[in-house]
Amino acid sequence: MSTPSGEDVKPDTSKIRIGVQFNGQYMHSSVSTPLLFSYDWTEVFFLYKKTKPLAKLLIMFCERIKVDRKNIRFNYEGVNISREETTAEDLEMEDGDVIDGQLWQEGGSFER
Amino acid sequence: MRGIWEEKVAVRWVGETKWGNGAGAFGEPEGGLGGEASRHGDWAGALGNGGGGIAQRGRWETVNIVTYDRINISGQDFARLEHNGWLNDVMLDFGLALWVREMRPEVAREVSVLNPYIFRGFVDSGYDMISRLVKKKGGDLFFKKFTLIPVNVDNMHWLLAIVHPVGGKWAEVGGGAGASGYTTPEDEDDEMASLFGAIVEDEGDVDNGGEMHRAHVYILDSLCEQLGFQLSNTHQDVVTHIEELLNRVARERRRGWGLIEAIGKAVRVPRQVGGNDCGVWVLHLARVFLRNPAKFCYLMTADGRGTSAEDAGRDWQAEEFTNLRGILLERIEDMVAAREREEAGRA
Repeated sequence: MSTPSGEDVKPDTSKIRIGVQFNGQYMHSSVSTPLLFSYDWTEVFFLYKKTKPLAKLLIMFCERIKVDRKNIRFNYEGVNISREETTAEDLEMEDGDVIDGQLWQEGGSFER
Repeated sequence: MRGIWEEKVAVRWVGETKWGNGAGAFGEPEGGLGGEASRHGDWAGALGNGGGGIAQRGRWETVNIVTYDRINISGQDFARLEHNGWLNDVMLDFGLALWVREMRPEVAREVSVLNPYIFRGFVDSGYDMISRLVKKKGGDLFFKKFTLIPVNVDNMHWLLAIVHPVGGKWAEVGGGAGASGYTTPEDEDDEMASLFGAIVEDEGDVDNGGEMHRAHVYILDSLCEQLGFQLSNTHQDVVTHIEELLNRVARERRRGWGLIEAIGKAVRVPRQVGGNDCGVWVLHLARVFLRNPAKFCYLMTADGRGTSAEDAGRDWQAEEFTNLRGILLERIEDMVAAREREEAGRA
């Protein structure tokens, strides 16, 4: 990378590309209104600081796909990231890594 | 969506409980995800005296009250446990992590416990979602003697699937480097060793002993009794997905194995009472299974089946089930107390 003046500029190593993906279909059956939410595959890449908490990035993603943040679990390498302070550095993420979003799961029984 | 959420909450668990009038116990109402972490103390303090009213829940539902082995338990996860509610993925994750910690070393060698996100991630979004995990942990995560997979069905029901190899080279595996979805005490010592174990795996070895790789998938479903211990279509779907998952991982990590066949089997387990406890049953079944996998393996195969409901209750130690919620609550409360002491000591 070089500026017009010809000086070499080091690439900004404090930022990496972090992807967030989400794909799911979810039947939310409350007592009065059964609703089906369905989302197509969405993958968004952000250029984000390694030392900045990921929570803000995840909220940005949720705003973009118009889903409430608390309806999605975000996992990295099969581990849930829900702590507000977690940064990409904590998770040892590398450039281009992807965080996986999934709708949360619960269960009691088939019967009501 | 908030409206729906609150309605659901009121119906399922908060509505039938007595809440103290703890309004005002929780600092600022707004703040979203950021900033709430600093108010842990408020929430933990409110635990003892009944928490806030229903109108207050929106404030603390995402507040992290305690962290265990990278699992962050928030106020609403805790409330599910406390008020006899449906368990969610975080609570399942937490419970399984507890049992894995308590496993004896010889059991830990032959058992792998997956967290609830892995299977769901694979079903929803395909192999890409877990490929990095497989790369890091190696195939060992899926090809142990027993693999416990908590499965969520339609966001309504939890069941436990146990994968056990019966044919091919897989059936001969005794152990290998310690690998599990969770960190076990000895994992921490030889993390490097298991990383190397993941790199040097058998590849390109096309000798499978002339036998097809075959695995039994035992379905432990606390509502299975209604079906007369036959696999329903839902169970068949679960088995199919597990077969897909195993084949996909084997294609990457166990190249010589060829196709894997999964055979679903329903297991007679005690029937759940009421409509809230299937998540707790999954935790209970996992717990007793991990105490003695060999015994339950015998019970689950054809020899052990066909017993009566009383036998099933005795074998799976149903009497221990009744206070399982209490045990989990106690563990969380202990951790909260420990953290408070630590914070008080620091201040």
